[in-house]
Amino acid sequence: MKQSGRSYLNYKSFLRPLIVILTFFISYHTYADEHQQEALALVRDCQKCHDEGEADSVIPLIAGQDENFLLLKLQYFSNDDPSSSLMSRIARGFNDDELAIISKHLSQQQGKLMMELNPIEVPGKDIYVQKCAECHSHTSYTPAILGQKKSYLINSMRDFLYFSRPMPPAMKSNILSLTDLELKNLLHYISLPREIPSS
Amino acid sequence: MKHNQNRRSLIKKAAISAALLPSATTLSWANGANHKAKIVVIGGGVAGVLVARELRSYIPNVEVTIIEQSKIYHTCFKSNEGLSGLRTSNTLNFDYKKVVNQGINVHHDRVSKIDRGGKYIVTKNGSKIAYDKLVVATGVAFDFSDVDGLDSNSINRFPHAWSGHEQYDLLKHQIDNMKDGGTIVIGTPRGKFKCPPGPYERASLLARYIQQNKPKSKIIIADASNTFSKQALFEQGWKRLYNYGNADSIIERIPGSEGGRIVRIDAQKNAVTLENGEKIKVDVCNLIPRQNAGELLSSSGLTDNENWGKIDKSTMKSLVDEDIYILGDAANASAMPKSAFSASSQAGVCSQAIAADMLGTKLVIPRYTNTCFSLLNDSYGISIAMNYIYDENDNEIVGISGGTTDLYASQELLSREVTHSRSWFNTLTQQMFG
Repeated sequence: MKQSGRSYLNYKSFLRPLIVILTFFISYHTYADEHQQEALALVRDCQKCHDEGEADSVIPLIAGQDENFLLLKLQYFSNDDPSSSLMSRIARGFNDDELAIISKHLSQQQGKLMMELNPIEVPGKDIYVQKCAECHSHTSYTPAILGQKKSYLINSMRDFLYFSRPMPPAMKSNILSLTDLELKNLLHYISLPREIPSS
Repeated sequence: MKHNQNRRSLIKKAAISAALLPSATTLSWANGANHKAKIVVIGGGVAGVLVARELRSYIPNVEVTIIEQSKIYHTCFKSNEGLSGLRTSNTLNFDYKKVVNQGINVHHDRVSKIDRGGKYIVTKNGSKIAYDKLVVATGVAFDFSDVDGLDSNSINRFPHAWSGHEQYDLLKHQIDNMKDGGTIVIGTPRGKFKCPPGPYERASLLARYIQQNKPKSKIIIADASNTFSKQALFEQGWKRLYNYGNADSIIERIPGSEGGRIVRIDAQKNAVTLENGEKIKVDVCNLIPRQNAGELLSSSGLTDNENWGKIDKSTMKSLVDEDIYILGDAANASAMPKSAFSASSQAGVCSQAIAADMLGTKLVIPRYTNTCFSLLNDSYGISIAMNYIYDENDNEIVGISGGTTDLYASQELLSREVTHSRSWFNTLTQQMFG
């Protein structure tokens, strides 16, 4: 406390930059808030179906998903999906700016999806490491799938294998190389609920 | 595991509250000398519970009280699966324990009066509860006057099963005990009613029940309407599954244009009379009465000329009272249909608007969504979905994209609609009561 009289901690010279910093912070914070609220108004209804919860689901988790992947997927639903899937019916009502806001906001949410491998040692992990991790744990534009809902993953596999959902050639040959048991173990490993690392 | 779940939901809530906190503006409610803002929510259904939970996490230092007469919430959505044996009845019932654990007061009582001048409500048990903001989410009330002979007694012989577990239990009991060869009549009402595709889903799933358990029985839809929600998809499915349109069809429908509406019931003779004069002897009659927002709203001057809550559709705020919000089935939120999903979407808009009002933050442009699934059997589902914006020129909610399942949808897609609907149900009820 005695040091407070020293010139470099002069009360006035200390206060001025503080005010500048505070003003900047407050105005930035207000700006960010309004954008946060606008984004919230856009994504809130997504969470009516795409939410955590303990039960298995055919509806995928999207909180914390890769931003670029979300945007690609939403653009597909909005512009290109030839089916009348529920997502395409809803997504067509958002313009490109809104799709970008939605993708960004969702990607910034804290979710259960993970890209990083974690210490769970169960059958299936070895296959994930060999055949999936190179993209799904390291590359943007590729979805994080560790912790994803199992029933959703099973439907996705059916889409890839039987209903012409596009996938990279390497992914196709990797999936086709698996035995039934390996695929079962792989989906089990991927869908194990992940814990959020403590900060 | 449980601990982490709670921590996660706390993190999520913290993120949402941070988005809604004012930065430099005054926290007038939170800073007021010893004044804790009081929000009273009438009705503990989808709209009421979600508004309460969201406001509790958005606004610091707020007291949220739900007034709900029933201790058990019975989901009308998915009740058709229960009636037809596709799920057990107890999976439709939820209690408010975890809502209370969120720091929300839940009073099991019925509101008898709203004193708008004094800003308090009075309950049947005599409690007087003051509010700063009042949220009215009372759902629908039933108007028996449209059918001769229908009253609060005879409705138990002709149960609507359109709200609450008592009516559901009555109809379920009648269906379970119906003889093979019996006739089930489903009567639809005039005017707007909650869950527009609901009567047709009910007919579909009861047809499945008949097909498997009482194959000599049949269903007649005595319809007040000429056309109905997802009609082409329903009729296509009925043809595929229940031989609709042929002499041995399980389902027969008499549309409004052919005088299908039930105008009279005879409880002694177990008969109904249609508008076209036809008399039908019934074994089970599921009579869905005409609906409105109810006496509490109309006597408080909160309704429009069709007897639904009159609101600013960008916020759900009453057009006649700055401190009252009306949403869910009780509100006129056209063009949104009255559905559980609509109510959940409106709850988000409403709670964000109340938070902006109380915290002095900027009001954002609202967006709305509705999705409504109907099952025709346990592996055949259809849906309608709509993405809405608000049109300030005429205070309307306008669909900008959406539509129904494709008529050419594959069996894979139809069966996925069933599983989607069940995942949605689990998620919504978890958000409400989990």
